[in-house]
Amino acid sequence: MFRLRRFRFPPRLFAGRDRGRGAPKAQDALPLDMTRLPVSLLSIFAFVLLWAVAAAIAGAPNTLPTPWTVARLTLAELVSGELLFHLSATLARTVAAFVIAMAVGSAIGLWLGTDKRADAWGDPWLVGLLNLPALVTIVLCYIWIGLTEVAAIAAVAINKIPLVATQMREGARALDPALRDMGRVFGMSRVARLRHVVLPQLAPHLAASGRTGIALIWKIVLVVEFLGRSNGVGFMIHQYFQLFDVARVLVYAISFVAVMLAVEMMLLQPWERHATRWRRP
Amino acid sequence: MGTPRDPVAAAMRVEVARKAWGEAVILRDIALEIGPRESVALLGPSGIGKSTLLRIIAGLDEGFEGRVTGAGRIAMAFQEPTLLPWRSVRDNLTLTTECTTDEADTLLRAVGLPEAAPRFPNTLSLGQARRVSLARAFAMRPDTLLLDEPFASLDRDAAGRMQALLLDLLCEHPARLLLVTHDPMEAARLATRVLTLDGTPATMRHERLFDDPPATRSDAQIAHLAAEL
Repeated sequence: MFRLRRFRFPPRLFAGRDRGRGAPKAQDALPLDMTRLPVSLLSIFAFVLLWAVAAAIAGAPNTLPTPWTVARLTLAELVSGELLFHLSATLARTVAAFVIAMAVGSAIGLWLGTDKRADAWGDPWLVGLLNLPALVTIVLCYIWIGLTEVAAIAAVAINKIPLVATQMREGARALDPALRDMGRVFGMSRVARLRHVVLPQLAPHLAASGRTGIALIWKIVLVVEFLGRSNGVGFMIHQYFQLFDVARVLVYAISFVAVMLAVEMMLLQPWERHATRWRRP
Repeated sequence: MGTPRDPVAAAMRVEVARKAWGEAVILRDIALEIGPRESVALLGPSGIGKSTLLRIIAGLDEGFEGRVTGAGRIAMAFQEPTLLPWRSVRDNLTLTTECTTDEADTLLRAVGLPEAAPRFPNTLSLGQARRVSLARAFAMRPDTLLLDEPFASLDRDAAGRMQALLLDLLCEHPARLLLVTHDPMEAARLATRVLTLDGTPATMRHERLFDDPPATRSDAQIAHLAAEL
């Protein structure tokens, strides 16, 4: 299913020009925190064991199937190609909504965090949107835009944008004025200031909203698919829910959790380590 | 900045009729003209408005009555080194001033830090970071170099070495220098003219012109000049 090898070396993509100059330490090259790996694996094993024991005690394979039943079905779905098809449909929607939400949310947050007037006007909107239930956004997007891919992605992005904006606004408020002055005196272009002065200061906030973003977005994507799409993990869960097939619901749910964990560990964490490498002595 | 002009002939003119923070007037009736190769020290007690004047000249503070003309290309070294901690020392020069890597390395050699180029700024001591900040200012190839207490909180030896370095760099890369300081010794060592800011609101109170070039002064002469300030 998920080709681990392809994701082994992404930090080198981010490594940039500094690496060749010998500044960062060798440990930055590791995409995974190897010291914690054994504990993580043991922890996952303990969860599976707990699940197996619970399934054995329950003795109701239709309600709580055993881990090996789910594993066998996962393999079958994988071989048939169904699993990969629906996983990639959901992943594509998740990535699209994530990119849009991060870009738009960051821009809004940066604007509100650096412009007091805009903040005074924008804050009530932000609070309102933050409290808008995901279900309402989804239903309204489907009604207003139609049962389309655009509506699905827009609904998810709209749910996430206020969260990103709020987090980035905090980051923008804490930007160092001395560095801003320095950039202005030396006549750095707006793009250069954004890239080299502003964004590195926002990196911890970007990472935090990226992490909560991924966790939130894929869950909303499933609801969007559940309500109005004809493929994706949410759609399949909907199907198997109607058939009361708990085992296959778990197959799709766990597979996608695994994908998101892989994204977190192999893309997000290495990027975060790279972005904060200058903090390490 | 950046208007076409003859860098040798043009003098920088600074006129600040009034600069206030809310109700409090900080600066009043300041008129200043600095030639293209002059080194001017601005003396005065802490909090008098020296840094405010420097920020006005740097274009960082536009809320004042008056105007600044003829400054040309400006570079500044701040009280703190103000380096980008997430970029290497070399990148701090090239990304900020758009100088080439070779120029950056040459300047880092000139300030005695050739080996620091690939390192991150948080691996440097305060004195080293200040020297990088100075190198960055010169990397800009400025017409006007503004220094805001650039030797503060350095020990006497380190400050002395850095002042000698500044004079060397000015010989090689001539520029108009405006140095803000509260230390008469610094002014006596580096300046061709010393201005004193005093009063509330602050105005120019004294002006002292030195005949000899700063690089030729002996320690005894510097102490003598400083005593007169």
